[in-house]
Amino acid sequence: MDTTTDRRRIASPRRRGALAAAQMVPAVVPLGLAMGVALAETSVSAPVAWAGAALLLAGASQLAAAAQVDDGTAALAAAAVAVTINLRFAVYGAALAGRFRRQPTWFRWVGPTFVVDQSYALVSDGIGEDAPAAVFRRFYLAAVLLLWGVWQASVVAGVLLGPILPSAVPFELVVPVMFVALAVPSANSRSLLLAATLGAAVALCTTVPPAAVALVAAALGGAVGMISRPVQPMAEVDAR
Amino acid sequence: MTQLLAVLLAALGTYGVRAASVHVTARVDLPPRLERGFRHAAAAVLASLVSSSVVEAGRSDGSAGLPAVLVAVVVAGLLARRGVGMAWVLLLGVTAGWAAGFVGAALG
Repeated sequence: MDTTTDRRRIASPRRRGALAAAQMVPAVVPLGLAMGVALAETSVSAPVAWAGAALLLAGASQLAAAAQVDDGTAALAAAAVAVTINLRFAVYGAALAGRFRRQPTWFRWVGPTFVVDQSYALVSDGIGEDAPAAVFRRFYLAAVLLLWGVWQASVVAGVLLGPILPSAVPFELVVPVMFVALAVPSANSRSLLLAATLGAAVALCTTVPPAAVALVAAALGGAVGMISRPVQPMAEVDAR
Repeated sequence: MTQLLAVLLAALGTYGVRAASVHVTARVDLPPRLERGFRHAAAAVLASLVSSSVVEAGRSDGSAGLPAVLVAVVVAGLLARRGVGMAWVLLLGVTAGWAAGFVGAALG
């Protein structure tokens, strides 16, 4: 009986990863649908939209590239715009380096494909830095593969069903609420909270493009982290 | 064809960004101070996306408007801070914003 109870209590990493990602599905579906609807207004066909969702896994940059091509920009220049928007993923990759360092080679090549805002937040909040390599790998793959599948299906559904989707769906609310849900748990110490506050302030106080805002925020946040003492969870600090 | 080429090039470049950062930083033992810096940088990036998306949503033609977006964000932030599950944060945050937009439209 104890063993059964323990098994229920200690879920496998795959299950925990899938459950963590499932929490994100209510945001990913409307976001993917909205992205699909927006892509349908460009010259992008459904197969190319699907290819972009599957390979790029970054909606805003996919939409920006599509709009650039429609404006007559060459493919290489449009791709450069998309890559610039996605430069923030380098920050997430670097922040996850400690977890990738102990992984087998195949995973160090495959894993980064799925580094996006959602997967970084899920990992940083959902699994400890000192987790065994195999536990992290199973958690991560279960989480990102679920998100990847849901994202693809949602984008394609948005492209195909755009005209019949109800206009009352408050898409404009979903994106900021989703980023709040990602950002708040990640800022779980005073120095992380300070870094997050600076990042948020940069985006409000400047008029530079969003991609540049993210990089300026990263620089400021990084500086805070480098001059701060080792991270102490807020609960520990408050208990003193 | 140009659209497909743009997607493929963008995917290749984006993978390069993702993989390079992981590979470069995973090959060496980074000083703890630098690792802390990266974690804080990531938190700042996520927070900057909140502000950017609020500003963008406030400017959009959607029915909500900036006050409703702010209500949604504040409710979601408070719930997330209290450790409420992400799905509930999303659901209740969007519902609060939608309700605020509805009330605002009814009053205005």
